[in-house]
Amino acid sequence: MLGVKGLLKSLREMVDIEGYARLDSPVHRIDPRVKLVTTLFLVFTTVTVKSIISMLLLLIVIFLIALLSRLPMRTFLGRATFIIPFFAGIIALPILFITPGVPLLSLDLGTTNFIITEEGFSKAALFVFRVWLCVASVIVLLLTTEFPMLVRGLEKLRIPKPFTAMLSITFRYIFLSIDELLRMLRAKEARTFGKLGVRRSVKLAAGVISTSLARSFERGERVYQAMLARGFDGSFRTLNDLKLRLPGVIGGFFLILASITILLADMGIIFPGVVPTLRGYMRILTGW
Amino acid sequence: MKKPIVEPVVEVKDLEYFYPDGTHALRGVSLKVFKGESVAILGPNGAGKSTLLLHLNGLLTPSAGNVSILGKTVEKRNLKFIRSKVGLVFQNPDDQLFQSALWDEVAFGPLNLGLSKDSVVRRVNAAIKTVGLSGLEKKAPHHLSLGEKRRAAIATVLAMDPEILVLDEPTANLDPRGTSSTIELLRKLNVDGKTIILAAHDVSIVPLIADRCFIMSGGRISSEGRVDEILSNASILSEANLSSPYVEQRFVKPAGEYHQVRRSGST
Repeated sequence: MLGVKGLLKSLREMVDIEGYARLDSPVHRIDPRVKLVTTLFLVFTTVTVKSIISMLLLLIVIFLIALLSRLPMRTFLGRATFIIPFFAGIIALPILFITPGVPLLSLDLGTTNFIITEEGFSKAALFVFRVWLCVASVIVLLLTTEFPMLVRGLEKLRIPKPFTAMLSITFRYIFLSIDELLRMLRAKEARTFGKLGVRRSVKLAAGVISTSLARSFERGERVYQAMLARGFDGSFRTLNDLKLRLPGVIGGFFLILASITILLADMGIIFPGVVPTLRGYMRILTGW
Repeated sequence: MKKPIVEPVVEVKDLEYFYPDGTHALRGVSLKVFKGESVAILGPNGAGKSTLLLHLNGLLTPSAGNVSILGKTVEKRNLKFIRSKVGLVFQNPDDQLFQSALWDEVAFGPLNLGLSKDSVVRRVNAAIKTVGLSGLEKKAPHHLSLGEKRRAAIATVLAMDPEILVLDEPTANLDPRGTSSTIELLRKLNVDGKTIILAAHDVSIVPLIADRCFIMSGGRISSEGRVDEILSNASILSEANLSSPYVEQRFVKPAGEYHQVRRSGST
């Protein structure tokens, strides 16, 4: 359970973006709408391009934005990498084994022999890299935009209010939920001596999960009542005074231009020679 | 003492309430609160205070009896009016503060009233200033202290400019400083003309805020009167399981009675 606690604590830290979002930099000052659209373009390009060269170019672009945003590099890299093992890692794992090709490593587990192929390895690595790039661009967005402004940006982009409200409420209560879980785990620890068997651990975990589910449900009821008490009638009204400013728009324009350029070059529509040539250089340099 | 000759702003008559699980939470509650008063509803946990308060804002519908606010019965067609006149502050500010920034939180109520942008901005800023949280407008609620959260919760209803402020345990879990600043704030709001109704189980804060109080236990109002009358009557307090050595020292005069109470009532 200690692992769970550590995980929850780091999750809480990861979500706590406010400190960074309040810093000031050219990237922070860009209008949230521009940032949202730009990020969307970057992510779209990242998942569309085929060549590793284009992905490396995108990596450079994302690093440039991160540098410009004056975020501490450790924070940026840490957060971009944090979720990789949980999501991309798990999905990439089977690719290692099921892709046919030249064997790289074999794991003999008694009855079956798992073989990692070279093709499988590079496929999985590319996949993880791709996910990392997407997460990194979203992290830059999150770490440079105050959450309420982000929600306002989404509103201005005509995302329906129930969705933006849900996002806002989730962000608000995720800390409470994590803290409550941590308190429950601590209370459990205070009354636990020595090691629990697997059976009891699982039982306890089930208890913690069901209790926190019930508590969230009850809290939801109370929050809704409190909203009704303040005249909520089902439609979300917000004051939104976002105004577009020229420098931000220009910055966003160049970023979108960069990602479109990378995308088109990758497809060979513009600069047809560039990507294969770079690819050739890389082969010579790395032998990959 | 105020001798009310006007119509009550809040009138509860023979109110009965059953929760869906069958709990008989309110058993014929009647009370009147007059304009500009500050009243406390005192009672132990589970007496039905919170249930009663939820009725004042139309969040619960009476099983029998009725509630009227400023002469209007609490029912569906009056809800909009009633919720604009009665500001309800919940016991746990984390239930009340659901937005990711204080300013947006305080703006929620006024926006629901359909006010113009200018007056929303004016009211929100004024409410935040009144509760002393200026400068924290952009802060997320999870970065506020409990005392700040409580005042933020009060600001969220103040911004709607209600005539009646209803607060459920406004000083619960606060440290002495948080408690005294909340009390000070409520006193000031009362002086400024707001009618205040608060539920409490902590007898010691009541004389500091309220002029009049109702004692509630087991879903009934067992007695009512001026705060000093009620609090100096040891038998009323011990009947409602509200005896508190601290309050007895301050209000209960006869020494013999004091000792007697100390033996029978425990907190």
